[in-house]
Amino acid sequence: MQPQSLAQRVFSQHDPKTCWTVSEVVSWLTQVIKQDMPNAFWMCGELVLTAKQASTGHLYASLRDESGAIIPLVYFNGMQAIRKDNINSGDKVFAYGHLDIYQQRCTVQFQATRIRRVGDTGTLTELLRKTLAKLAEEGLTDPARKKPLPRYPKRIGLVTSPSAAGYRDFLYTCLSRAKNLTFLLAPSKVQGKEAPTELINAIRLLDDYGKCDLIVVTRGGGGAEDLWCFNDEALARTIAATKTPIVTAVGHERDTTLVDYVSDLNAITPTKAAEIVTQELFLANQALQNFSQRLTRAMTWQRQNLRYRLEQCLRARHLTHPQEIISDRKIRLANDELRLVSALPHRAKILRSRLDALWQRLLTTHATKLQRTKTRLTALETALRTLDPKGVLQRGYSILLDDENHAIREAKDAPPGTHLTALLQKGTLDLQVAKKKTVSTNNESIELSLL
Amino acid sequence: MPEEKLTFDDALVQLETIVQQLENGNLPLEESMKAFERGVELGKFCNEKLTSAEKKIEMLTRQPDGTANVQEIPFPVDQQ
Repeated sequence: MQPQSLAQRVFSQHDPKTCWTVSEVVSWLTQVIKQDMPNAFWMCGELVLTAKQASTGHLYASLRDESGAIIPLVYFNGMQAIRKDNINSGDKVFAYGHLDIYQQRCTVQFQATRIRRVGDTGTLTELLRKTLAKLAEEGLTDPARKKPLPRYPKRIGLVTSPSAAGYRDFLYTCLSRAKNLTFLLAPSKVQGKEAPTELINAIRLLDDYGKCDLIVVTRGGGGAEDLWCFNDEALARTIAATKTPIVTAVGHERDTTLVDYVSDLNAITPTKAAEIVTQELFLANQALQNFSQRLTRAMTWQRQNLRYRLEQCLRARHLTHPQEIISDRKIRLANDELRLVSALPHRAKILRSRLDALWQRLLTTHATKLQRTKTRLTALETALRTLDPKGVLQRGYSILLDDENHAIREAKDAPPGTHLTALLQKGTLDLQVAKKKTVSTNNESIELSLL
Repeated sequence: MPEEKLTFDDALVQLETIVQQLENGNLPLEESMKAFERGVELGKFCNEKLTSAEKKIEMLTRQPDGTANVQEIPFPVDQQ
C-alpha cells in the first residue's frame, strides 16, 4: 500500500491554492490503479491494431470485447512476436501484461508482454490446445472468475517438493520481504508420472484444510518433460475449482503450462510469485516503519523545541536571580532620590540668577534714566543761565528801561527828553535823552545825559 | 480504543494523518501528546497485525485414516 497522502490532503472549495497539480492527479490515478490491480494478468479480447504502426517494432493496438469496452494496448517490440504467431487484427487473443497510465495523455493502457491467440497455446501441443480451448469454453480461463489475492496474507499454503529449487527461493524471498509468515507445506512430487495426482491431492488437502490465505503451486525451471505434469487437465480443473486463491509459478520465464491459464495469478518464477504475494505486506511494513520513525521524530522535535523555549525563558535573569528585581528597584529608587535632592538647589539657583538678572536690569535702567534726566537738567540750567538778562549786565552791557519798565530796543522809542533808567551790573542810572543822531534809517543812536 | 473494528489499512491511514499533523507542528503540546500516544497505539496495532503470524513452516499431510496432520518442520538451509 502506498501512503495515501494525496487522497488525505485537506482541500477547501474556497481556496484554489489547495489545488492538486495535474501531474499529482495523474500520479495518484496511477497509484490507485497499481494498488488494486495485480502486477500482471491475462486479459482476453479482440485485438484491434491501429491503422498506422510505428517503424520501431512496437505494437500499438486495442483490446475490445463484445460489449464495446476497449482498452489501448501497447506491446514493446511486439510486432515481430505477433507476426511470428500469425496473429492479425480482429483475432481473439489472450494478452499478458499490466495496466499503466500513459502520463502525458492520462490514458490507461495495457502494457502487454505476451500475446496469444485464444486456443493457440504457443509451445503446447495440439492436444493441449484442445484441452485449453475446452477449459476456455467452460469459462475456466475467464479473467472475471479469478479470485483476488489477500492483501496481507499470514499463512501461505505451498504445494511443491521440499527438494525442488523453487521451494527455497520462494520461502526466502517471502521472508526477506515480510517477517513472521507461516508456511503450510503440502509436499508433492513436481515431476514424473505420479506428480499430477500428488499435486491434486496436495492442493485439495490445503484447500479443504481451509486455514491458508492463499495457495502457491510452484517449482523451478526444468525441461519440457519435467514440467509436463502441469499440463494435466484434472490438475487444471482442480486449480480452477479451489476456494482459496491460488497462484501458479512453474518453471522459468518462457515456460507456460496449462495450470497458468486457470490459476488466479500466474507468476513467471517462484521468486516472482513470492514477491507478488508479499508485495502489499512489504509496502505496508515500509510505510509503517516510515510512519513510526516520523512519529517519534516529530514528537521529539516538538519536545526539544518546547524545552528549548522553556529553557530560554528560565534562563531569564529575573528568574535565575530574583533578588535582582529588588536590588534593581532599590537602585532606581536611590537614583530618583538623588535626582530629586540635587534638583531642588539647582532650581533655586536658577531662580536666584533670574532674580539677580532682573534686579540688575532694573538698576541699570534706573541709573540710565536718572543720568539722562540730570544731563537734560544741566542743559536746561545752562540754557536758562544764558537767557538771564543779568548775565548780559555782568559782561558790561546795560539795559535801558522806560518808565513803564519796557526795554528800549530802538532809538525812535526814546525821543529827546525821555526819562530812562539804565540797569547796570551793580545799581541803576537815571538818564534823560539829550538828542538823537541818525546814522541811517535802520541805525539810529541816541545821546544820553546823566540826570 | 475500538481496535476490533479497525482494519489494518484504516489504522495505517490514521497513523499517517497523525504523523503529518505532528510534522506540521501546529498542534498544542497537550494535543500532540495525545496524537502521539494515539500514533504509538496505531503503530503497535499495525505492527501486531503484520507480525501476528509466527515465522514457521508446517507440513500438512493426510494420515492413512484420512485426517489432516500438521507438524512443524525446520527451514531448509539457505544456500544464498
